[in-house]
Amino acid sequence: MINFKLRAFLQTHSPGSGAIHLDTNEIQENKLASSPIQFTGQGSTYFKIWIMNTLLTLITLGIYSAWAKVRTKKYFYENTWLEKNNFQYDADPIAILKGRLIIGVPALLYFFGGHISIWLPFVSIFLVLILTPWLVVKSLSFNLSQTSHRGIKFGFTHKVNDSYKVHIKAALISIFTFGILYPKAYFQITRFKYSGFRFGKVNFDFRALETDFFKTYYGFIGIYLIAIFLFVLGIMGLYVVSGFLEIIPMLVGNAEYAKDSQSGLNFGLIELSVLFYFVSIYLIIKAFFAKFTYLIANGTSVGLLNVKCNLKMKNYLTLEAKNLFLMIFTLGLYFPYAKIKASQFILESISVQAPANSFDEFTQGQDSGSINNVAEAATDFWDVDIGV
Amino acid sequence: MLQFLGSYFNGEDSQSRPAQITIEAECVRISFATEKLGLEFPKNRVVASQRLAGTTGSIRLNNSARFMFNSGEDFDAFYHKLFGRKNWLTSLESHRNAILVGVLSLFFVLAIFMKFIIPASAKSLSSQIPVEVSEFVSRSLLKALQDLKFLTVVEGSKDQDHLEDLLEQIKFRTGERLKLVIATGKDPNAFALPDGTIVITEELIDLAEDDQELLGVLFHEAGHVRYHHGWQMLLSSGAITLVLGPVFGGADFSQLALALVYNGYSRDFEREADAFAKTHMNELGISPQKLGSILERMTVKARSVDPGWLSTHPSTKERIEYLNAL
Repeated sequence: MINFKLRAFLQTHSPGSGAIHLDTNEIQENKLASSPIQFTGQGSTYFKIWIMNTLLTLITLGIYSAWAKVRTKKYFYENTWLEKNNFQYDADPIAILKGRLIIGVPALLYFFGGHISIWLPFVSIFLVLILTPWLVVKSLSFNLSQTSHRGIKFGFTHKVNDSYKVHIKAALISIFTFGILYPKAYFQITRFKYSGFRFGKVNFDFRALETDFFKTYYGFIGIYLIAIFLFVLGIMGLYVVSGFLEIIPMLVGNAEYAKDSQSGLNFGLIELSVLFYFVSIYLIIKAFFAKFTYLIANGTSVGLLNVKCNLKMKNYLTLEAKNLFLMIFTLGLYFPYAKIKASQFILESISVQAPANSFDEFTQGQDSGSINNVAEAATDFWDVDIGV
Repeated sequence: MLQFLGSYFNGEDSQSRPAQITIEAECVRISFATEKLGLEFPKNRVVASQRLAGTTGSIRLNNSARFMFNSGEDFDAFYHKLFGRKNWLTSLESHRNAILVGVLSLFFVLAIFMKFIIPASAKSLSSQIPVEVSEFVSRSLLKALQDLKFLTVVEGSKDQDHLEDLLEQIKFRTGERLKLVIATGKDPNAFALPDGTIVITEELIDLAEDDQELLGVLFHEAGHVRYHHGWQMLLSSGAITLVLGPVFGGADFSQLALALVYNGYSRDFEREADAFAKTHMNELGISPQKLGSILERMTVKARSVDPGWLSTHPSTKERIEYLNAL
């Protein structure tokens, strides 16, 4: 017990010390309580917000998009509850708007550049590549500093030059092994991001395993290849079947009809199998990101708090398939409902295990102040996502 | 006096303190049930953004302290009292009628954009583009088409001189700056680049039964050049991606919409070019049916290879009917 208190003391009183590893036995001694995340967002409410965001963005020729973005984020954060309190998001839309105006140039180059010279998009992609490590740090710093829970702000502790080191190393690792070690590179970048998170003055600890990243990544490559294989097999099968069907009308002596019915059939079935292929790829990608969210969440702890994720992949994919189906059928109008349902499923699979009362014991410590200037907000254009 | 219940967070520790908030002359006051001493914050430092429908709302009292309301209605009353304005966004987002109007106007605004604003701006912009830019783009496009093996430019084709003669007539009649490139590809095809270069495949030249048919094709392409259709298409597809991308939060849906609208625009362009060709052919005393008949043969030929590309054109039947009509 004394040991525990000492550690807790060290935890909260040594700035930048990072999290301290505790063995599981020790934590269990102190009665861990599990607090599930609750998500109270509702499709019908978010639909209204989304419609207004969309409409006002169009009417104002895009200017409102900065407000739309902040309001969307606010809605999701404020409806995410942990231990009777919700998260808060406070970014200033005007800072974001100014940032967008400044940084919109490379984006325009990318959109229109291709029509003027085939080299311009490459120039802008190159620019973005060079800037990525900087963007990652600035965007995380900006977004996290605008996020708080129980009055305590989040933050990002890692520096830009460390970001360059990690990203360059990761790039070299995957380039020189022709992508074979890509999961290692992805792991290092992910670790760089999440271990840089800070809540008040407690740093996040990222303990996910590199081997899990390898297994997951190559597992999905396998599933992807199987999907492609089945698709090719299906198309070949269709040709054989339509070949047979072509013969039947010929036997009855109507060659003209044969030609028409064959092309009609080929067209419909091929479209159908292409659709089937895209739906499977869509679901595979969803599963891929959900699995990594699972790995990252389970590998994260904040001081004495351990994050647990218990994602039921089968149920999740059923939900995403239903969402996709309804979005196609409503010409996209179901999108806000789908987004709410998917977020709810993922967020509510997460819980935080913590010793009693530990939620009350965080302190802000030295706050670097609210980062809300234009240069930082500009990075939001690429929206480096902070995940959960 | 208005007072509201909620929780106070000081921003220094993570404890939630039940509190009530009141508005005074110069400040807002936070008082606690358990402590006698309250806190005062200057009014002008209080920051609040409009509440979202379905949330209870909170305000920032200074750089760190925050008060969270127990109910959304309380927040709205407080916000109105302190800032003297209503949560108009919140009311917009929570009124059923406003949403209904929103959905309808969204479709309406999108339709206006697609049908009028984007084509009209593309049209007026397309005529402003400097010749140098058009020439540069056209060179790049032609090179890209060759790199992608869609076609190969034929230098010194046997038909070159003959086609140049025909083009001279077109130039004289239409007053357009035109250039000719003969190429070879797998299909009979002809198209116009933004700088007035008309690319025609040897397959199409072979398909033509007489010069009048070729003149019809060349007039049609000259029509594309006259109305800057190439630029209009490039500009409007870029604009649509920009408009729809943020709306649907991703490339998937905007690409789908782009494909649909693209088809629509391109049909309009074909009709315009056909009308242009028809007028000039009539003036020259050639029957516009000549263009119709070569179109028909192109369609038959192309359908046996690939039915895909013709879908961007209005149905050939419709076009031939138009060209045959007086």
